[in-house]
Amino acid sequence: MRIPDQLRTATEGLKTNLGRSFLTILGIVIGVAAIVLVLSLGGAARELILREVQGIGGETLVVRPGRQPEGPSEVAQTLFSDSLKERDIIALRRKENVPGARSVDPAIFVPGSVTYQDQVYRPTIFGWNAETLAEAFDITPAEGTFFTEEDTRARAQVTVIGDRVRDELFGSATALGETIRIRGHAFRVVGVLDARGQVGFLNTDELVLVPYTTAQEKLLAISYVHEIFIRADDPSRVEEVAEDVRRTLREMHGITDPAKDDFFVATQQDILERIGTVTLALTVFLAAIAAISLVVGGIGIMNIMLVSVTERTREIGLRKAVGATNAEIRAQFLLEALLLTVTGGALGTVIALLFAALAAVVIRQQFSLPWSFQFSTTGILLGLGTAALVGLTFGLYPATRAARKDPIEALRYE
Amino acid sequence: MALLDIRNVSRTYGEEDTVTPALRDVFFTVEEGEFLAIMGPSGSGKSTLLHILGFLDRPTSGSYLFTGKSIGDLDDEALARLRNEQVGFVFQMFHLLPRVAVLNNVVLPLVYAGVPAIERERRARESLTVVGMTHRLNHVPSQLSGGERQRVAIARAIVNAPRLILADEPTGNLDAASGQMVLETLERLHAQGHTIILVTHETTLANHAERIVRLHDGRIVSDERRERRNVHAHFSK
Repeated sequence: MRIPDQLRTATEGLKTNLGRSFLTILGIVIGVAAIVLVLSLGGAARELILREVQGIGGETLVVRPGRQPEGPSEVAQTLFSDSLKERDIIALRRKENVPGARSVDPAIFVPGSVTYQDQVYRPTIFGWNAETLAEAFDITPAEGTFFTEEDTRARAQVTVIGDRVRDELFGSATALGETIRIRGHAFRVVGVLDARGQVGFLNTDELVLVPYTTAQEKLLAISYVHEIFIRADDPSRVEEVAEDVRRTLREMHGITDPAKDDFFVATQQDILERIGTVTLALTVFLAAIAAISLVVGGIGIMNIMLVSVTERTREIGLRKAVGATNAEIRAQFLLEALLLTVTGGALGTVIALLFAALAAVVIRQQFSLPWSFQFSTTGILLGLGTAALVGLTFGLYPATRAARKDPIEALRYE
Repeated sequence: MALLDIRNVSRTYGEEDTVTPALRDVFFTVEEGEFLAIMGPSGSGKSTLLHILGFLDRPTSGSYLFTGKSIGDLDDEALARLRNEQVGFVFQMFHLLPRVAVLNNVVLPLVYAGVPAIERERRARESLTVVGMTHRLNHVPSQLSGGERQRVAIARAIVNAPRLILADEPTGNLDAASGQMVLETLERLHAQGHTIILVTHETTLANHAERIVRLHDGRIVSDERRERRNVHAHFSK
């Protein structure tokens, strides 16, 4: 039997029960639509997150105390570790130790809220070098200036605040030159940042920046730093800088065995890879859940194919009598199942892509995020491929049953 | 050489203590071009014999030579090919595919033979001309009378130019007039040289054949040759 004839025979078989065929594939339509949609949205989300993170710049490295966290409890350990000290920063800043570093800046995270008169706000309070931040995040003060190195040395109680912080505390009044209280300590506002919104993990509009020395001494009374933020001369030197940093810190901390490091260096690349892995894992997980619905759909296909095989017992007998081989009968019913599921898969894919496109429009308009509609051929092939796989898997048993029918009994079937 | 040569064939159903014999030690031969009727009461084994002759079933023991070659060693696929190329079946229940047009019903054996679409349509039209059914090519079986359906089924049986036409009670579901027409069609095919084996329990029907084999309880009890009727006189009326 020729292949076009096999296809025609299968389509004829399906046409005789068009309404039933349509209802049967609904499960597949929904299942495939769910998978393709999840993958499409997941891909778009991943792209969005990665692009945002890349905003920080590829030349960036971060040194954190403790060990590379592998779980939530280790993240907490990192926050309370005090292994990074002022003298480490001084060592790292020496050109002979880390020749490729353009800047080395400690960062202090300060929990708490800020107040101005009776207004209270909980911003992100950072003890940091304002100029490094300005360069790294490409942000400048809209009013006033950044605090200076002199301020850092003098542990001055000065601050630069984000646009949103200004709005919350001062409303429409002037903020520059006013005194706000951070954890009860008075700080003079010397600058207000440009509104820039989310950059990477950070919403710069919600920042309250103070000199890191002031944050250590006045606000937290600690002598260590939470993080050291290093920028390489050039993104291509990041790995070299990372190696120099590790060597210098091991020397400073008297560590000979790298396995016993009390710090770790994360490059931008590491972060991107981590985020990529996490979002991909999440997407695949969601898609796997959606795939369960395909199993349900597949059982529906199997059920209807079994009914069809029984109903058409006499047809099977006749086809065998005029010369159909068992393989040809099996191919006919398998092809019917396959056509059903692939049609369902195609419909589901189209529906998913429509929804993904709609979601892209809504997200862009309602949340003003640079969300892109992902039209991936991989997604389409995957949708059709899984549908075909379901057809083959759940069509095989009914088709084999059809092929095994005894022609004499099948012809006599009432 | 005989077209069919059945030697010492038995067919039993069931296993061990529930064995039921359907055919017992049957011998007979059929020459090319014969019109033969197999008669017998129900349960006599005539359908079983027909199924074996048509390669739908295998003998439990004994041998079946078709054109001198034993079919005993052939696998299912080879038997399917024999049915496709050498046999045309006509059933009591017609067995046309419902919801499929007349022309497409008739081409079915050629589809499995792998004949290209244009060629098989030409041959199907030829077969339908032989049975006088060219006026209903695109009708579906439910739009046809019983007699018309059986003529379409006969067209399907001859479309692959088989060596052997097997008809199992072909008029059993038809009224007298339609039955007569179907019988005339079979006689015409015989006159054209087809080998026809007819299974029936009706004597009037069997009387159209030139040879009658009677079965009883799985055994051949008589095998008589009759005088050949003048078929053309029959049709000239």
